[in-house]
Amino acid sequence: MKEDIKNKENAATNEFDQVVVGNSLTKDAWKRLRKNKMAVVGMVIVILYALISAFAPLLPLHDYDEIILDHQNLGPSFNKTAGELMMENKKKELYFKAWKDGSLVLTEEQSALIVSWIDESKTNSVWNLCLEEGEKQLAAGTFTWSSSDQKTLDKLQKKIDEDIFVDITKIYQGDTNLKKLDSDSLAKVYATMIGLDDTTLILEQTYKEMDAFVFNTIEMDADVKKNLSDEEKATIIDKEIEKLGDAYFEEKLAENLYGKINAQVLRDVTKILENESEEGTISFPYKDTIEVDGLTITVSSSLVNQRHYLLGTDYSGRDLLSRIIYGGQISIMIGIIGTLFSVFIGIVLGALAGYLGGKVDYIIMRIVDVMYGLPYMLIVIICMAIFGRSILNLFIALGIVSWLTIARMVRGQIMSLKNSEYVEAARSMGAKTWRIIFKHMIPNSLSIIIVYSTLRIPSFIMQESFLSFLGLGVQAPMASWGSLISNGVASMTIYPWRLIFPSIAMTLFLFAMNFFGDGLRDAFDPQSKNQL
Amino acid sequence: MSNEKKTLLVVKDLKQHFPIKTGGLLNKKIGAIRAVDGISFEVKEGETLGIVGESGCGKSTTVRSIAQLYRPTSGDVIFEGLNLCEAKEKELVLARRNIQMIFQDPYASLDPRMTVRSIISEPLVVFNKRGLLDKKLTKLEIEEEVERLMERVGLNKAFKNRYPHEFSGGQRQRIGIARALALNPRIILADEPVSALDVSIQAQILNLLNELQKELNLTYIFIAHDLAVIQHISTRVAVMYLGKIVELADSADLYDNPAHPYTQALLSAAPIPDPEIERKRQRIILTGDVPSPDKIQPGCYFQARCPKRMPWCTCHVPPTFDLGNNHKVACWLYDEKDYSKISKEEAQADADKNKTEVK
Ligand SMILES: Nc1ncnc2c1ncn2[C@@H]1O[C@H](COP(=O)(O)OP(=O)(O)OP(=O)(O)O)[C@@H](O)[C@H]1O
Ligand code: SF4
Ligand SMILES: [Mg+2]
Repeated sequence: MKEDIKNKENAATNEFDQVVVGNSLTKDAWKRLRKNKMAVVGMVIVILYALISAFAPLLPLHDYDEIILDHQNLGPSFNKTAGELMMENKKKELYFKAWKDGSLVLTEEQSALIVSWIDESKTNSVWNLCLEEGEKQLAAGTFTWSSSDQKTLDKLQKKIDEDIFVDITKIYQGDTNLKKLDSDSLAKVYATMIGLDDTTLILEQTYKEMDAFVFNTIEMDADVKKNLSDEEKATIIDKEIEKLGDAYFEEKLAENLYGKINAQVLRDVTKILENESEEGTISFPYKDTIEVDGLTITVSSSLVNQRHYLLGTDYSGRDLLSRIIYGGQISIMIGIIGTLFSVFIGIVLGALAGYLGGKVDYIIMRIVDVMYGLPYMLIVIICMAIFGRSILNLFIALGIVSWLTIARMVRGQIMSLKNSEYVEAARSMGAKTWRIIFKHMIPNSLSIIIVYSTLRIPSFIMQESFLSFLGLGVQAPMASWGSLISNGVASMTIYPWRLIFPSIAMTLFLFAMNFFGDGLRDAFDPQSKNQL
Repeated sequence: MSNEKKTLLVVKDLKQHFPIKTGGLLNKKIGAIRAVDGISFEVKEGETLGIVGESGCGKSTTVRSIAQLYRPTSGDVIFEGLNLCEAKEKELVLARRNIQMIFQDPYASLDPRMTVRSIISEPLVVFNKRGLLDKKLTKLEIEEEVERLMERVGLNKAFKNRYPHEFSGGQRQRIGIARALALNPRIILADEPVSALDVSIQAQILNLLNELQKELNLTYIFIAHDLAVIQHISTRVAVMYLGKIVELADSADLYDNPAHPYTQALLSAAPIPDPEIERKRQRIILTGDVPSPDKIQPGCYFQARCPKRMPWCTCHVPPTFDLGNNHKVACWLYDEKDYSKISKEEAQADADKNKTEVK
């Protein structure tokens, strides 16, 4: 105990009267792990990934699902803003067009080069050369934009300078948050906003929308649905609404009205801010409250084209960095939850088989054998096809096919422990079965289970990626490393960063996890070469 | 000498057969390994019964059956009047308190995930939790008891928070002994407690066991395949061969006048410290293999290797003959009748006659 260590007289000493400090297996393992450089590096990286994923909402990232069509496929850049990149892209296009018209004159070799690049579809090289040469000639005065091109460029410049992005965080009426109001009050607010005296019209419209919404959610054969008469429709809808309950309906109604108000407010606020920005009376990024139609609105706004995209954007103008981080969140989560799920099933079935033995063991192990024989990915794909694509189904599908190895391992472990002398010793002193399982068997199998689990996580991530790659994994706007990579592959020659960055992120993590897992395995094995 | 003493444990016709199964769903029994095949002996209070025999002859199985780690196939194990083979769970647990085991492998018999303290205190904790001790112990009392036990077996009590892998083989065996002593047992079944240790450490452990026996009036059943070790520690010795006891005698008697041909062969193989005698003596070399323990033999189980085999032995199982002075041996050489002259045919005819009579 602690007092013993403090009290030197009682401390453990060897024959030379030196105090010997004890160490446990776990401490020992930790020491061995620390000696393994790669494993430590792996562990640090894994922890870093975990922290970034866990605290992603706190990081100054753009929303991972915010689509800005103007920002499609922008390249990665440290110092250039989105606007500058847009301008560059536009110029590349125009210079190339100018070269084709003949207004941009290049040397013979350059032209020949371009022609050969086009044949090899090296689009990026063509554009870069055109841009470089064009800029040079423009500066030297040997090239001028045609008037229509100049107009396009000016317009783009104006847009880049002026486009603002408005985000409404909160809407208050006096002291109450509009989100907390019920549908009637919201309808009144909306009525005054759009200059109506009473709310009947609005409510009528909203009810209609609600009916349509409810009708859409009803599951029914599409053909039958189409051919319903109006009365039939009305009764079905009424029934469904009754089923959903008043509270739910009211909630949806309020949501709908809030959405309307929000859209209206957004329009108004954007107009106000645009005007002010033209007059030069505000500076961006802007964060303040604005009064509109008697509502107090908390707004944050920025010049959308001033953004920086460190890792570029994807085909819908979404920030790749943010998508990689949020995608990592999902991938890692799938890795962990899938592993927990399969380890849980595996431990329960494996322990049952190992401890009970006999017929139970035989049946469980034959099931395992049969499932081993089946093509694993095919089962997952069939499951996903039957039960539909959702993350939950993905977990389940991966879970039900991946408990096999762990079940075998746990079974073997429990069986060998069952005959070990220390378990016999425990039995000979009258220990009950549960005590033997919990005090002896589980603690002694835990290390291999932990190690196996860490090695299992990367394989889950790979499987998820593979499924996403086939289009069976997570769906947009959500991302996972696999889906990002699969999107990136489609356009890898023109927009290579869309493939490279997610791949690097994933590969690094998998490497780190594997090194860490290997390190753990060696560390927990007291006979490993890596002795202290 | 041991006659005045009370009998503590009686083993009667103990059999332990492990079924050989086909495996699979049907799991048919297709035979049995007769690991222990009808052995009987008595153990008196305070004595040490040594069991010797070559590997696989069923020594470990015997003690495990006595400790009820395997439920015996048939036969009785009577400890202080209680037949353990028929005892109920509760009675059995109570009896276990008095019958403790020390295992052969000091590396495998200690849970590597437990500290020395929890290993030694485990029997106490188990019994305490089940309320089977004379009085409930507090944590502190258990702690003190652990320290006392550690000092008694010669371990520094400061090591109690250590894990088994931090100890040497001898120290680990001391931990195992401390664990076996924790419940204050009457009889200790020691399954080759020293064969995994260096010779110098063997002596230490044997001396420790001797001291403990005197001090606590313990009874031992002590397994070894080293005859010197057995001679050093036992008062009586049982020689086992293929699941049966072939000779049982007081230790000194057995070493001076080995009766069974198997015992004679074993003793002739043991080195003798005197080089003069060692050079001159004749070794009895056993030839042939040990028959598989899953077959029932019609005759003496040792006949395949016995240098003194008679035709009679091939078809008659020898009963146990008492040579007086507590010396028992299972060999036809010691019957009053002389069988050496009986030819094979006559012997076979006699065996067949017996068979039909039984039918
Ligand atoms: N649980 C078991 N199931 C089936 N057969 C067993 C089992 N335990 C032992 N046996 C068999 O019983 C026979 C006797 O084994 P046992 O362990 O008692 O021998 P032993 O005399 O202790 O040998 P050693 O000196 O090597 O320890 C062997 O043939 C062994 O294969
Ligand atoms: S009975 Fe016969 S075979 Fe068996 S030990 Fe005696 S002499 Fe040898
Ligand atoms: Mg043995």
